[in-house]
Amino acid sequence: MSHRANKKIFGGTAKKEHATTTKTLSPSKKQSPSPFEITEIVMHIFSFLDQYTLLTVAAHVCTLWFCIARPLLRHHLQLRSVGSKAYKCFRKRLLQADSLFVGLKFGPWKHSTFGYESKLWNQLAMPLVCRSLKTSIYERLQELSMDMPLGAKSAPLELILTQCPRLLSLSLGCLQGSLQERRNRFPHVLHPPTVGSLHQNNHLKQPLPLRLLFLSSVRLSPKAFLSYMPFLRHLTDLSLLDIRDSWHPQALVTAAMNATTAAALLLHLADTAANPEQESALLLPHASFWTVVGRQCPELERICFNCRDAMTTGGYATVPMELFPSVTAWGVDYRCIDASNPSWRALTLRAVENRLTSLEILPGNPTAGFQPLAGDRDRDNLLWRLLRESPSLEHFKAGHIPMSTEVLWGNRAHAGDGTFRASAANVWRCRRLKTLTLNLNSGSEDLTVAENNIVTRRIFGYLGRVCPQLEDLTLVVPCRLYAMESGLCLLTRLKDLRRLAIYTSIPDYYTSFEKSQRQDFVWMQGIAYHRGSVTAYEQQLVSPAQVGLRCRRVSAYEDYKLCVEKVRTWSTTFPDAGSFAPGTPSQVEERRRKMQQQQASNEYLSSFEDPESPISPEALSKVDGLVDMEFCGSFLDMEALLLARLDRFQKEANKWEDISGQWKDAAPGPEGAQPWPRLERILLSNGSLEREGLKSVQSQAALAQKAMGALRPDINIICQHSESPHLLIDI
Amino acid sequence: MPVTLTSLDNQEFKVDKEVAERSILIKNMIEDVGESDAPIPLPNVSAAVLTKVIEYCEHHRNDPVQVQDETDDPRKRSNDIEEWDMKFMQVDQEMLFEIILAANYLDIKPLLDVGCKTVANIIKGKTPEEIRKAFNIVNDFTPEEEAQIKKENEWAEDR
Repeated sequence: MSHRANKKIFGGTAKKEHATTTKTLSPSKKQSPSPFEITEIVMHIFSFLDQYTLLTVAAHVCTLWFCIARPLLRHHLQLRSVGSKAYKCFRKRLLQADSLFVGLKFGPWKHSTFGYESKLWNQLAMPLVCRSLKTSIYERLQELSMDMPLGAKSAPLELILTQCPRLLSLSLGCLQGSLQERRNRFPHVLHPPTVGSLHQNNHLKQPLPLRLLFLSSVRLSPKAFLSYMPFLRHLTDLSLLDIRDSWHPQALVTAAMNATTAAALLLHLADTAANPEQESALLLPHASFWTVVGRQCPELERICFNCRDAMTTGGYATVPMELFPSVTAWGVDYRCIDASNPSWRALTLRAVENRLTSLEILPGNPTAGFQPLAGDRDRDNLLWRLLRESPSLEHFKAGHIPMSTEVLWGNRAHAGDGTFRASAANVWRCRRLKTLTLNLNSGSEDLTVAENNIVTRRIFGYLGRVCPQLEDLTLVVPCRLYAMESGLCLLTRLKDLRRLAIYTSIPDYYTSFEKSQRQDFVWMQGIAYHRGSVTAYEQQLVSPAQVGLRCRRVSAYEDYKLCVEKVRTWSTTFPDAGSFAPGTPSQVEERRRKMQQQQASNEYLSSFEDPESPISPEALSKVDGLVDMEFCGSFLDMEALLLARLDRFQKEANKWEDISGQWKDAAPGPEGAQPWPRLERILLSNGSLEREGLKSVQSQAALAQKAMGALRPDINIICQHSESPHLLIDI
Repeated sequence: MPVTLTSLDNQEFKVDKEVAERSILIKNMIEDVGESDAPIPLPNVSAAVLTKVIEYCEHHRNDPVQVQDETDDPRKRSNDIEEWDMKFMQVDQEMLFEIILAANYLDIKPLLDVGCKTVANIIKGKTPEEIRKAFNIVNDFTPEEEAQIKKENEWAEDR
């Protein structure tokens, strides 16, 4: 088949000619039908392809595909360096670009004491961008991000909005790396770029189509910001992160304390004086500011806001959420996590009709003593409650707040008093969670290897069961949790998981991923995993550019559906015998009984039953109604479990025989006349991703088969291991 | 009330009106003609393909009708195919193409979507050469054109 319809593929005419092909089939095409002969269908197919495939694959197949793919490609332009030819080249390409990122690549300038970054930006990059913007109107540009270093001059917001009338998304400020990191690198350059107010002679006449505005690490005068509001009526997504209020005495004191030289202090003062609108920064009351924003931007759906200098400005740290009843996605300063905070009350009041879809807890100001500490049970309780009461929550990020791992112990009260308080209310209701970032604290100073394995399996087991739709999982763990690969196979339940990142708080400390090989993660194609420091993690959190992930393919676990759809699934992890005691068998049985009672009214619990709690074989052997058993980890007790159950079955049978005298002929037999009469399968998986794991699983399967013997030959015993390709399929 | 559909090879299929009206084309034809026992000719769809299409429509007879949303996210996902649909689409390539063409002709958008997603999934992960081989497409680029495409793509980076 040839699609050679027009030799001139770069002139823009070919597409038009192909597009004239109509959707109606002509009978002449019947002999070798192909949807690729109809432009409309090819375009529809291409609409399901990502930009990468369109650019590198589809556009290279044939001329027709090239002509169809070309208009669908978004042209993304990056300005990463400035040189003599840069301007001409940049301007020419900018006319064709749909999106633009400006952010200079800097070398290891840590030794620099004179703000090399800001000089390069102010003297080269910014003039180049501004010159381009002043000379043309960029109708195509829909997305613009400018990563401005500390010490950069005012952000050219007005110029951008005037010259780019089709802009839908705008990000300005320090986008790569946290403000604290930049402060550490250039301690004398304290001032971030300023967002100035509109000038009188502006060309803005009507509301702009801008939907997303992201300002990070900038000095922002509320009055200046509000001057733009009449033109930003269509905003749906507003992020004001690490905002510093402008000129005030505390800033001067901080500048004086941090300045290494008198010259640096003078430089700072001169720059501040050059921006007189800053002086009005605090003249506008906080509540009035947000009232105006709410009135001017009625379409807002998402707000992220935190303020670095909140200590000096009181209530400025939090957004009065009650003013925005239609906003369902929030990024809030961690100081909101306080029962007495009005914002928190606004969040929890939504429990009546909780429509919260996204919540990000943003960092405060560590230098002002606002760093959240681990072990704050009140805060844990509040966050836990929020997760329980937010069924619509899809994105939850709390990477800056240490939460105890005990909160993931679904069936145990996380107060840590060792008592069981089985309650469906303890399980998260956010079953649609897609993005999750947690900072986990083990709650214990020293963990043995066995205890560590239990903790990690608890984490992965809980998340694997409770959040089946997770796509992006980021965990910040204390260095003590040194074997995070333990129980990773429990994550194979997450068929949509596309990204897993685990960070330790101490750089170069082990997360034991080093022991794992890439092939261990074949069930999760395109995985991005590595260890790193909290600093690196912060970069990821605040940078919108890194939120989009590079994983394209998703794998599914063959048995996933079977695992989650069974109404009565018992999933458990057996630790090494004797290493951990969760409670007496009677406590476990009581917990089980209560959970069964609650199942009727809690549908979501039907597939979540104690995913990781170590339970004794004796206790499990007493549960009659099992349909499905799933074991993960050590199988030392597997044979003992089956034998205990068989022994119990024998006793039941003898008891029945005593009563009836001929139980063997009874049809159907009494409940308990067969070991687990409803049991259909046993699923065995090894707890870690070690090479020898499969052999261990197989030997346990053989033991299980032997123990069940001829009594239940119909039970399907399945082994699973990440290296068993027949158990893993791509979708 | 049943509706009779006639395929390209003059085979007749009796289906419920509710099922037949999953096709916008047939729905419009019924509305235009009014109550009639006359069979509806579908000269572009063979009996084998029509059988598959009817099977799809039967299975999805109670699905809500899709409303065309102009504000749809242009970045559509191809990995959200339902399990039944995925099994339904496990046919040879020729049949897959015929189903897509039939869905396009009969104006059954959900079926067209599933078919196109299946083809998109086939395309993903393949090189241009592999795609040409799989779909029997001739590379009609001249060397100069190929060089120009590469040059153009140098700066248009993927995000």
